[in-house]
Amino acid sequence: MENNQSNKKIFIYLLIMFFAFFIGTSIFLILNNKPQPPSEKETATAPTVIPPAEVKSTEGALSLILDQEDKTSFPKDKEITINLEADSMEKNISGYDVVISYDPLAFEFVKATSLLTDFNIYSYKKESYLAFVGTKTLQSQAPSVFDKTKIMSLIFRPLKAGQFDFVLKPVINKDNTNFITDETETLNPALNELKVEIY
Amino acid sequence: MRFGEVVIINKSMKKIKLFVIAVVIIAGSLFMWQYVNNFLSKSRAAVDRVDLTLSPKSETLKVGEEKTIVLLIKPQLVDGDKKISGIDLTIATEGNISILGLTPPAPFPLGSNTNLKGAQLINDVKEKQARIAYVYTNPSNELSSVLQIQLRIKGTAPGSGKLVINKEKTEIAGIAIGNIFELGLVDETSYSVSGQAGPSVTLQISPKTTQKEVGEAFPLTFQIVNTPEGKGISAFTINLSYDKDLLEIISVGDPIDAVTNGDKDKFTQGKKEINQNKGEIILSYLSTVAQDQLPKKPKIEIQVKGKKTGTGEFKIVSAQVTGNISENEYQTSIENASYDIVSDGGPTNTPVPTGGTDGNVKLNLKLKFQGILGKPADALNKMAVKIKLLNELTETATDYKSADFTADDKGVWSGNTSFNIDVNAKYILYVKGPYHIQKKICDEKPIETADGTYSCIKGNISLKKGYNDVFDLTGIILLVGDLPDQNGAVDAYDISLVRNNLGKTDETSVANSDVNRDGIVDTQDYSSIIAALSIKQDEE
Repeated sequence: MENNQSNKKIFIYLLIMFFAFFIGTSIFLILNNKPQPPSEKETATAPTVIPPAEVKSTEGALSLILDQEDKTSFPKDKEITINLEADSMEKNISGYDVVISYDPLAFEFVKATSLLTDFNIYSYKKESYLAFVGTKTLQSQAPSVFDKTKIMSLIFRPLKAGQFDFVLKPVINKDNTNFITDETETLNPALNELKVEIY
Repeated sequence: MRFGEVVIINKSMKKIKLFVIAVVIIAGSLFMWQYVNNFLSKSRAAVDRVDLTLSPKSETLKVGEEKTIVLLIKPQLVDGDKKISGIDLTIATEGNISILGLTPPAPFPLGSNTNLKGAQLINDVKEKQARIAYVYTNPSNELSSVLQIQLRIKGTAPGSGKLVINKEKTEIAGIAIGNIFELGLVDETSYSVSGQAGPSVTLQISPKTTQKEVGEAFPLTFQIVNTPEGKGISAFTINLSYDKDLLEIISVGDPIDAVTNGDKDKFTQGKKEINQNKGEIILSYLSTVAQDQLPKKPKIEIQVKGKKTGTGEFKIVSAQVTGNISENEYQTSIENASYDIVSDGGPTNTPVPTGGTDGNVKLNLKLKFQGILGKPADALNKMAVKIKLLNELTETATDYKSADFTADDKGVWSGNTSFNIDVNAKYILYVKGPYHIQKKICDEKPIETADGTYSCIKGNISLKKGYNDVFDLTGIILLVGDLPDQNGAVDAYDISLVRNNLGKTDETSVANSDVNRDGIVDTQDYSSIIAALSIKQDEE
């Protein structure tokens, strides 16, 4: 019986010690608790290094493909749609430039439409080529990794019959074709050309 | 109670005990874990704390009265290692006081670290809240441990008010764990604002604006005006500041009373200190004549001379004026003056053109850049602008000359350069800023109705040997868009550079993509560059 009672006493002491420890710890935590600065918050001196625009030989791919992939011949009285398909090699893209040369006597450029809702396109019609700037909207926080992704649709109106080329060019004058990553790295994708017959 | 029941109760008690012990151990372990994680493992961070103290903590102001409050930023352990490299501080007012301004952080005590160099990224003062962001560019061993900021506050209505540092929006960076100090003691203040506004006087520097040539001497007048009817000035102490690089003080006269344009003998000099190295003048005078004879409009003439081209402000930094009024001290309102020192058009005492001195034709240009409406912080108030001339007749262009331009309070950028050219021809001027699309300018005073719409074909600019009149090109705006490294076009790289740096204030990001020079890469920069896509390429 005595043994049982001393066990009870030890149990009660332990219980009191633990509770005292909780209460003490709780008071300490409450008194000292301070809002921690958000870990991702930018600070005035946070060292941020912008990587220089690295130009790599070829990384990723950009291809012109016909909207109706099984056809390469089209009647002269119908507009044709050419899509731009992109592969960014797992890189997150925040903007791109595209230069496409074509025969302006054979086709009238009608319009370009972004197939990505979070990218805007700015079109520039030059003498013998088209230049586009694609910019990711500020609101979009989702990564934009292109994996055979159709990014842009172009509509042309044929003006005459014949066989013609649409060619993605790496550079014409001051206009370039490239992807810009979220780290402001410049990627030069592999480019293709597309043959179209108008009858 | 039977034996069997006792055994069952004992067993139940044991289970309850075990359960309680288990709960206690688990809860204890959780508390221990949190304790160790939050405090013991960060014990060093806890040491890296800074106290933000305000002085005085309590004060009585009159309505309309201004006071200077000193904010000290001080690591809790000033052991020589704890240095401050940058601050981002937001302070607000509650009640009947407003914030008029705050100075950039300076080492404490003042003058203790003259090597300290930094850039003010933000100094945004609103009536009820002010924010200042400042970073130092010195290596860590040259930084200061203790900084001070002076806040100017004003009582707005009878009652009380206080200054509150916003802890959530305040960060102090430096040599600390994680480069950020924890905030230790953060002071609040309590001020009472009493009664109606007391008698006031106006302290002014005139003329309010002056344009003079380099080397030309001209007067600036300090004067106390709007003295209440029947009252006079018994003493005044003023602290004036000016840009020591632009102005030289030739002489500071003795005060007279503007009412009589004389009465020099009414004033007794207390202090007259002219510090040309600091750009500071301290004047203190006392009038010991009878109360009804006190001067009403003390006036002091200061002769100055332009040293080099640029704009600046001649400022009354602080003032104390007393008189024969029951309150003894007048409340003061201040009117400062600005000056614009321009080239003198002659071969002597001229500024050294940053774009080269070898040309037979010297050009002074004034430019406006998209998105810059005022004077950027000193560290950001310089842009290297490329300039070239195209001979309309021969269609030959000069090489680009790069010239440093600086802005005045209105966001007008001034700079100069020189070219070796045939002065009998007409020219087209090409100007390209460091973040900008090249602008082709054919007229000596071009204008446009909407930003960036000016365009021209044929050059109509005539130049003469030596110094030409200032080319005021502020009627047009130079659009941003072509960011470093420039390639002559606005493209996805330029736009992505701004987008990817949004919100950043570090030196590299600001140097590369803060096109409006406000110290932060933000949506204004992004909007400006998107707008420039309408032009896209340098004008040729």
